[in-house]
Amino acid sequence: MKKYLVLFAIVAFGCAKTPLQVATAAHDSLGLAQDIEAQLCWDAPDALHGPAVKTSCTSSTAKDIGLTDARHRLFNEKLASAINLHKQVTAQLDAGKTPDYLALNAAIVDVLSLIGQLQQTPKVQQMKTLVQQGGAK
Amino acid sequence: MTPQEVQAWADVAVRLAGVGIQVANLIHGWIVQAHPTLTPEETHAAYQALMANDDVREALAKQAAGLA
Repeated sequence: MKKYLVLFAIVAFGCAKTPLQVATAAHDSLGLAQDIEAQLCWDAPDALHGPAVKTSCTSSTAKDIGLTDARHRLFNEKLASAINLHKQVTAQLDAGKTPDYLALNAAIVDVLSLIGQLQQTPKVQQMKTLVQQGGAK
Repeated sequence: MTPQEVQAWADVAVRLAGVGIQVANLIHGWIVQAHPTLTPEETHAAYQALMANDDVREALAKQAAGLA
């Protein structure tokens, strides 16, 4: 048993990302997840290309997968919180402090819970994977 | 573009997104106008840098959530 624990520790250590890598990955993947949600909701190429009124979904895909206006708004509310927490983590890293990932991870779990309520199409699963990658450890 | 310029564009995008203006094409046009010597690839890279900005992402998410 002890030998397996040592092996696990070696593998875990070898695979561990540095905090800065983790923060960058979280940032990129959350942004990409936001773009996919924009594609599903509005048929837009990315979140910046959305319609002027962004609180409702306009695509037929959104209807098909259960992305209601309420879920769209809640998804973005939680995502805004995750992005904000990511900014804080980045600032902590820049200041040479040990970042607190707990709140960021909690926000990520909230977003994942919402994604879990949608029909699990390949694009939805891609969005889920990206958000999971945003859950820094 | 320098990081300072990206941040400046990000600030503009955040302000515009906050008042419900469809900003993507505007921003793209302004980058081209401000940097006429950029190649299409460089312009695209500048746009990508803008979209990699947390302030922009947060503002867009808040707008979609109805919080901005």
